[in-house]
Amino acid sequence: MVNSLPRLFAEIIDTLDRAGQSVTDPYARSQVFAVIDILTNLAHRVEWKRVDLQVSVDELRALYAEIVTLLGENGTCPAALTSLRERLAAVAQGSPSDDLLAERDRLSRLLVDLMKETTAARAQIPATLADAIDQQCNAYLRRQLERDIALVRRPLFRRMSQA
Amino acid sequence: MEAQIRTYLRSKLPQARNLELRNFRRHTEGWSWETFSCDAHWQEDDREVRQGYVVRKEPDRAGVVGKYDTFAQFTVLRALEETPVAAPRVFWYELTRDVLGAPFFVMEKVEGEIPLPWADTARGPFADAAEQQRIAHQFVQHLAHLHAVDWQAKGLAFLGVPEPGRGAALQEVKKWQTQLDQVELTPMPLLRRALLWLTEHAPVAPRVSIVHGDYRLGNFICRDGRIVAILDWELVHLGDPLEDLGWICLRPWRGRSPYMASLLERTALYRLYQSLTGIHVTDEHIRFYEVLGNLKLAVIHLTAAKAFEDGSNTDVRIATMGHHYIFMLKHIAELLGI
Repeated sequence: MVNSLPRLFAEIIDTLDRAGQSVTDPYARSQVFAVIDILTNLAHRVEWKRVDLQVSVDELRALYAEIVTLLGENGTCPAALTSLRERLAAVAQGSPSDDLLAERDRLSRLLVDLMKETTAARAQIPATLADAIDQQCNAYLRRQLERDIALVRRPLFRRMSQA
Repeated sequence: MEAQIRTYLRSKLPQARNLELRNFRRHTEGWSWETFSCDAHWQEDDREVRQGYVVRKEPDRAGVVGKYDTFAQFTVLRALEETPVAAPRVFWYELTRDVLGAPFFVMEKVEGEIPLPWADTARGPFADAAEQQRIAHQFVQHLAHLHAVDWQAKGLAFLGVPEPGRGAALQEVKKWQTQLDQVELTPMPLLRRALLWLTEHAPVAPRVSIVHGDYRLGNFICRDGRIVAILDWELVHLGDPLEDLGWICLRPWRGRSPYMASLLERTALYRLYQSLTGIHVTDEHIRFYEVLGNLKLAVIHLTAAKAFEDGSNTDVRIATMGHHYIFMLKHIAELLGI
């Protein structure tokens, strides 16, 4: 989910408040406002699951450590990717952060740079090296996608679209 | 709003006496434009006149496809009036905010049903194979008509003419990359990977045509077994006609059904389109536009999520797009072999 928890909670509560005023059955109406009460108390206690973020962060660090090894094999790193290797090495060896969400985003941005720079330098690096980097990146993307999909529940398109 | 629309219609129809609106309704199906329909009744000379109208107004809040363009939609629909394309007739457009608070245009209300893809059967909303085939043929026929329209003669170059060759494809890649740059709340490495692939594999367009941009089940009206109006032209542009074919083939429009957009199988779609247009269709070309289509759909979802996040759109249905985009990423990964 890309939206922030505070924003999601705020709008869920406001929406229930508006919708609740249209509920005519007294018992059902009382339930709606009880839910609002609970959500209002829950909103500031909730954060994204740390274990999910930690897995992403750990995998990205491991990916960069692997790429650093690939780029350093045979003693030379292609000139076009020297700067990239240094940045990846710094991250792979760096200290973990408490702000896992910001850390995951920072490491994800670096992955984008990695893919972009490798693509741009393709003509100047051995094909086997480029393919190996691609495979490692794709494997990470596939695992992350599987984790993200596992968290999404069946959409309610039909019910949301039919007023 | 009803009173404002009534006042507006009275101003546009000075010959109409005792103009009243019936069956006024605000439509909730779409999540972007605000759409209202009504039946206007009046007396003119000695006759009773009735005309159904649909008013499409730019929303006060941010939408899901980025910037709205009332003028472009209206002008394209007006240009299609003398063509075989089943486009609804348009009457007026207003770019001023003085009338309804935002730009809008007025088109005819077309009676009929909009078949939707939500049905549980492989054939979607169709009763049987015969009905499905009939509608499928018309669906492709109208698309062929659209792609054959001489957009230059119709004065539609203002939509932006792509460079020849790979220009049409690259123009769309750039458009959606720019949109992603503006709305990305959290980095999207898989979408960025897709953009790299798209830039590298952009095909040569067989021609430059009017591209509907959202041509699928759910965006046309049927009546008495015929497609009578094609709707939702907000993504219309000039480009590679095969982009529309790629869009039709997207998984979100058919789930696990073998029928593209719940209408016809892939090879049948290609064959029919080729026979009607003379344009050769290859899997590789369509694969490009399926990747682009899924990326476009993902970016539309992320645009909605951004609008929700910054408070410019408070509809919580929009917020669901902040996690539903993941399905498009799954399709992209499958298409790219990731």
